[in-house]
Amino acid sequence: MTYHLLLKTGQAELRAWKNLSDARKSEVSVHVELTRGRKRRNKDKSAPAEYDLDKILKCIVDDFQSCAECTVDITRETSLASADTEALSSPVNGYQSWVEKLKKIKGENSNIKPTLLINPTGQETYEEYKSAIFSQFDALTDHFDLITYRAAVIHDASFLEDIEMLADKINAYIESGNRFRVLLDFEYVQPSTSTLHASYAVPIVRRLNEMIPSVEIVSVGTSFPKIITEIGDEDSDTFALEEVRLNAELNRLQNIPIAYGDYGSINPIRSDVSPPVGPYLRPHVDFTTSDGRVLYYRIKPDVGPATKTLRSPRIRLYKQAASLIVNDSRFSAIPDSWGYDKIIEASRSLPEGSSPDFWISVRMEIHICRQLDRFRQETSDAPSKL
Amino acid sequence: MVAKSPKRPKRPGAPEKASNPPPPGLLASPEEVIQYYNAFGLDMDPAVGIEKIIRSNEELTLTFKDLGGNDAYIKKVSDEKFEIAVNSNHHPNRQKFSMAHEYAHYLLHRSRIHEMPEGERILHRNGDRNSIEYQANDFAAQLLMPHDLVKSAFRATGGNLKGMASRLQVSQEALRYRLDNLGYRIS
Repeated sequence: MTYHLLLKTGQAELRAWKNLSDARKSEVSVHVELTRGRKRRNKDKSAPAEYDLDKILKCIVDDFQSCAECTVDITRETSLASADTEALSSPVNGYQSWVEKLKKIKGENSNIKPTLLINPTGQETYEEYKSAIFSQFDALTDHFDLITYRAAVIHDASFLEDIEMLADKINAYIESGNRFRVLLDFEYVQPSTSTLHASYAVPIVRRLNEMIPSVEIVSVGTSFPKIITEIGDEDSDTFALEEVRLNAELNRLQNIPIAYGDYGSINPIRSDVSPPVGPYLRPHVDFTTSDGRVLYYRIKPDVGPATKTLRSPRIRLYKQAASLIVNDSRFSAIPDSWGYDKIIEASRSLPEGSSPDFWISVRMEIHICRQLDRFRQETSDAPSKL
Repeated sequence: MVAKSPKRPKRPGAPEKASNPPPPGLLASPEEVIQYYNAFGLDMDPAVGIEKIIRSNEELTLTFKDLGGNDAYIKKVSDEKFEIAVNSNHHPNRQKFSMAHEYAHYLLHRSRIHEMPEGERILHRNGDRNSIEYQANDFAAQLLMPHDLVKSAFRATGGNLKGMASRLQVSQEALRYRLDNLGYRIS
């Protein structure tokens, strides 16, 4: 069993990844979603924003060598896109820009695998549309032994038409010893909706399997909300990892194996595109427990009514939240986890980070460790086939 | 950019396929709700038909009851069934907002419905932005008063609050709250 991680290339996510141990990285199949990256500094504030995609691509080359696989994709979130990501996904000349970029980075990191992009302009005929996708697929098959198709299951009921159109090519590709994967992306999975999601997806899975009998199918999603109090209490609470339940439900309702993947506890709408944090922000520290729930503590800041500024630094609020987590009976040790160590450190001395971004990295690294440990446990519990 | 739902050209000669929409319980935003029910031909102009939205959802039942001083409630009646009740003594426009508020709880706070009280007062100015009541109000306001409908109501009535509220079938208080959030200056 391999754990699949959908990773957006934000600062918090990349920090979490960099701090994951090499031993753990080797067990993860990463689906990297190229996002716009950080804004380039420009003294001219009226100039259009420019983002450093090259820096992100360099990071993908350097930091994703030791994972099981590194599939590269482009964001579907408008708020995370840029002129660079748009240019890269252009369907012109059979998605030439995309194919060339993938070949280039594969030359520097042999672990790189492609995502097949579907990005019609809305102006082309069906034949033009089909020809561009076929050209992209053929070019990718020449250089890669695994191709992934990512489908927004809930938003894109028509994605099966693409698979139908490509079925003969995909089956021939697999027969030649290669692999084709479909990532069923459920995005944000609201609490208590795993059954609804799974019931909707089962006929899709069956149809996929009819067209491509050897297709690999992975479900990904996240139950981490945009605002934690949407699903939990103000000061502290726990909530279930609905993405884990969804995958279990998908596998329970039909016989085609669906591999597990998730967003690493990151909401699809990333926090760094939300408005800047003010003094009223309630710092929270989150911890994935050993029984598949997220435990959190939030601390109300003390803001001076006249000055509207924090009366004690935010870093102390994080320390307080970390201490509460550590003293909670649901907190338990995670060997070889940077995030776990950071919570322990913060509870004993001043935390290393005082930004929400830093604590998102902590949460994400812990979440990945927990999923890997769960997989290891389930594998060792499974009865031997011999 | 790469879209979640690309607009694919239709294959010549391909038969029209019946669409297979996701269950309505998975809709996550007011925009998604409007888009979803628009596709089913539910009339959303000049006012959003929240009662029809609720009645067409197999997981929901809608009842009108004398709830005394309360506006409405949502109650879990079985695993996948919920009851929305609104105060039968209230004005229809106030009832609409109450329905939309409880409907928001159904979509946003499904896992917390079992702990909700059987009867609540809906306050438009609930100050805590993180509270689930604020979230439900915000969702209800965006659902019943989407920006484009507010704009057309504004144009049609010359910005008259009473006229706009009547056109959108909401209370003046709810409309005032929404206009405030949209940045309109209300005299």
